[in-house]
Amino acid sequence: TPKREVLSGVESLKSQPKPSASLDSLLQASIISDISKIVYPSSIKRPATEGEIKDGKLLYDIPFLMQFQTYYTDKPAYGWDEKMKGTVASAFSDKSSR
Amino acid sequence: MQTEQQKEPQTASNAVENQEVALKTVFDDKLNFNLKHPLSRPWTLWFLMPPTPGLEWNELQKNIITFNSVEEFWGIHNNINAASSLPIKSDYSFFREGVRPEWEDIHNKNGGKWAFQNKGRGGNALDEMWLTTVLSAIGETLDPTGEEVMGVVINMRKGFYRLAVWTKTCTNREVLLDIGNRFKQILNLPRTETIEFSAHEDSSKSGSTRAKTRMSV
Repeated sequence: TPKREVLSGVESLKSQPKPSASLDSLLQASIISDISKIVYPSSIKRPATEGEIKDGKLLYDIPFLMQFQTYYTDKPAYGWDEKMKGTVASAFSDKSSR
Repeated sequence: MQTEQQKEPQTASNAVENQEVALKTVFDDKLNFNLKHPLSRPWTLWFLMPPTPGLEWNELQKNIITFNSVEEFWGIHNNINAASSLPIKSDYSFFREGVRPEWEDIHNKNGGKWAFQNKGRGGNALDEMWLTTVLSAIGETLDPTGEEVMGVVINMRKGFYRLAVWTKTCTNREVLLDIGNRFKQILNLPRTETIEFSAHEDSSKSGSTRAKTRMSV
């Protein structure tokens, strides 16, 4: 499993977001319109729910989704750590609430 | 105006556009990919803060982020504290965009929830159950209709935790039973263990732990 970011307020609020290739890729990537045309590396198991779109829904089975765990580990958005500081991280670092 | 532009002959920029661009998912190149996997609908992660001095009850529910791709979900999951380490009296919820994880929300007020409750903080087993529950919701394998499931929630409380799937109705019995069975399977519970369905209406009247059970699987 990937190493979890410690959200303990170690980083300064003033620190500039570092350029991040994978986050940039995430923000700029196009949405796949037809997954059946995607060629995956041979190590990757395609969705068991091939055909995927059922009643207008995109179906992804759990084993398919689990494969992404170690492939996308960067932040989901710029300013994530700052956002966490005001919400999740402050609650986790407050021992009195445990 | 539109038609005139369309009639223009191929230009250099058109030629560039027509060039083959290598299409890469995150599996081809972790750093430089240009395709991502869309979800059926956007989902929002909420965090219910434990009671905090200076904050009113209705200020504790925090909208963290809305996302609509598989890659974004993992960016969130890999960069947030584990569910089993949630402070007492806090929640994580993943709900459809536009639905607040509260009984009072118009999308929830006629609904109910399937819930699994257990002693302790849960540890790795809880983290795994929570992850598979969330993946079944966003991957749309939890709800055969795509209409019932409004969200999934983990409540960390003193001495126990509760995992729940919130539904839009509490009357659509056949579909709700199907969802309950899928949820139980996703949690990988032994057959002897049961999960229970209760209506939000009953919970709001009698307190969340005392609501009468309308169904169980």
